[in-house]
Amino acid sequence: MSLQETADPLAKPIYANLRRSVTVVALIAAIAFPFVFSNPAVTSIAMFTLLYLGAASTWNMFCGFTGYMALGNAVFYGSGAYFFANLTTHLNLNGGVGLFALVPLAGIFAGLVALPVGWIALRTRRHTFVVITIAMFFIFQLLAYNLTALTNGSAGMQVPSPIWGAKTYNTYFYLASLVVALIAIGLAWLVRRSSFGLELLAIRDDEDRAVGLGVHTTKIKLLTFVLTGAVTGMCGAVYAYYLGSVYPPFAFEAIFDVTIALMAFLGGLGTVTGPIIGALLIEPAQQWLTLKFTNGGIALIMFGALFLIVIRYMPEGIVTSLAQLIRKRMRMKAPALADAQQGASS
Amino acid sequence: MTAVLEVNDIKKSFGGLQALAGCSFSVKEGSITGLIGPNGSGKTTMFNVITGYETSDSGSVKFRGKDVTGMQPGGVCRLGVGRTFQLTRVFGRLNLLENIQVGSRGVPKEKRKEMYSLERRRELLEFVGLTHLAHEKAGALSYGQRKLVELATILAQEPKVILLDEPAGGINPTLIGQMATRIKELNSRGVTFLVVEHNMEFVMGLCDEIAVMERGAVIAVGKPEDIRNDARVLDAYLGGAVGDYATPTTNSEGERA
Repeated sequence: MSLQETADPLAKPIYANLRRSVTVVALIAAIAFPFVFSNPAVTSIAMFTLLYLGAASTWNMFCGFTGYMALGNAVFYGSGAYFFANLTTHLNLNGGVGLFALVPLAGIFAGLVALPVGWIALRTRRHTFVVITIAMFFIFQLLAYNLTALTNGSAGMQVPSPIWGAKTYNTYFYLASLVVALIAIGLAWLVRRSSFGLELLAIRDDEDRAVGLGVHTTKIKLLTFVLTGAVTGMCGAVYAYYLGSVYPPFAFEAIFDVTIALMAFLGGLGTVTGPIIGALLIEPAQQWLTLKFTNGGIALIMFGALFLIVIRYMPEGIVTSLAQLIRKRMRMKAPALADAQQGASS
Repeated sequence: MTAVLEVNDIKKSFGGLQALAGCSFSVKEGSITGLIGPNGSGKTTMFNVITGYETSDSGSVKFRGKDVTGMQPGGVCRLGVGRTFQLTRVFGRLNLLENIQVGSRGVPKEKRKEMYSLERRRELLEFVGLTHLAHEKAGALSYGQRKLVELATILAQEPKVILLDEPAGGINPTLIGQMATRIKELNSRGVTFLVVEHNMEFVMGLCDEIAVMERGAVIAVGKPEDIRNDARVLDAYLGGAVGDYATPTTNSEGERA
């Protein structure tokens, strides 16, 4: 029996404890961050990092788990942003901390947008699915330019400015982004631990066989897609409030789709921690590069090169590669297990 | 013995190729029935039609008297028909315990917890002799071991009928023997089997009854010893123009009427 228990080194209690400690420390650090580093340039980067972390985590919850590569999540980001702008404009609301209460509503709205989008796109698989999501993205961007009644077209929409002072300006946005990011991570974590998450992973490996075993694949794919849309919409709403305005090219931004996918790929597709690590590495780097090389072109080129390198040399991402390394090490320490694996049967 | 599975005059074409040309047979409850025939005779297509992976052009499939023709794979599975695939299909990036767990939606909700407890899943792995690999990813296993994982996943759902598509194909002799032992053991507990297999020794030793398919239809049914000596069967395997199987049949429906 002891043999079986050592078979999965990552399931050992020592690793579970380590994981718990790291989580607690990271959480405390994340909350304390804006109070320690109050430089607005830094907190702004940190806030964007958290927004992208949320968007990447939730993207991974659908795409990483099921293997359906969506490149149109900006649809929900933009929908959340425009919903927030519309609501504050039409209700004549003043800027204040209270406006953050509208963020979940923007999430619900984006989830409702994701329902028909997913219903259509999920009739296809693989490459076709990718193309359909990209097409959806362009359709929504075009709509944003042309449905002037809802979006004010290319003139954009204004969002009320916050009433709090310049000193704490970023702090509230940072904390709001943190909450959204935690929702995204928490949701992904819950899904990953559930039987439902296992079924999503089974879809990634062999969807038809999952169907044959009785998994309601269409239902769970759509449900997860809608959840992903909702969380992405919440990110979009916080983003709109922070910028103070919403324009079609910023709300529906193609780079957004590529960025969140890259974060998940770099960190580890289909893992809960992967997108977190990916976002923590990529977003600050990107912001820094953009600041450093003000003509943004160079940053984008480097970004594209990184994407290619990751896909070519680390398709499994940092977390998965690291986990494999640990497993290998553990196996070398437990030769009995290696012997056991040589025999085909007991 | 009553028939648990009845296949009646199933026809199925892929473009100009008639894969099933009025195929009929039945599987008796509690039996191990073999389904043999040359390559391209329609055995796997028949499996696909029974389990809902393909829809037939005409004809019917009945499971315990209930018409299941055209039903979705998930529905057939929930009724109690499990199957394995010729090219073994496991969830490569899930470990063995997780692989088994995926089938939990295929059983009634009230029984799910009990049927998919950790102990129960470990028992199943023990049954197929893979306990020591419980936490390994299925994709890292040998082909034969994957076949056993596939079987364990099916067994967890406690199906009444199991369709095995070449359970002995491409695996080593030790595992073949182990596979046969497991099938017989399950059969003694009341599980009915329908087995497609090319390994004649395996089939003859295992099955109570054998149906022989040729060009999309069943041409003979009988006990293994009768089948072994049946002239039509010998003809199907050894005689006839081998080339016939390589070219699409265009008017086989008329020939076979």
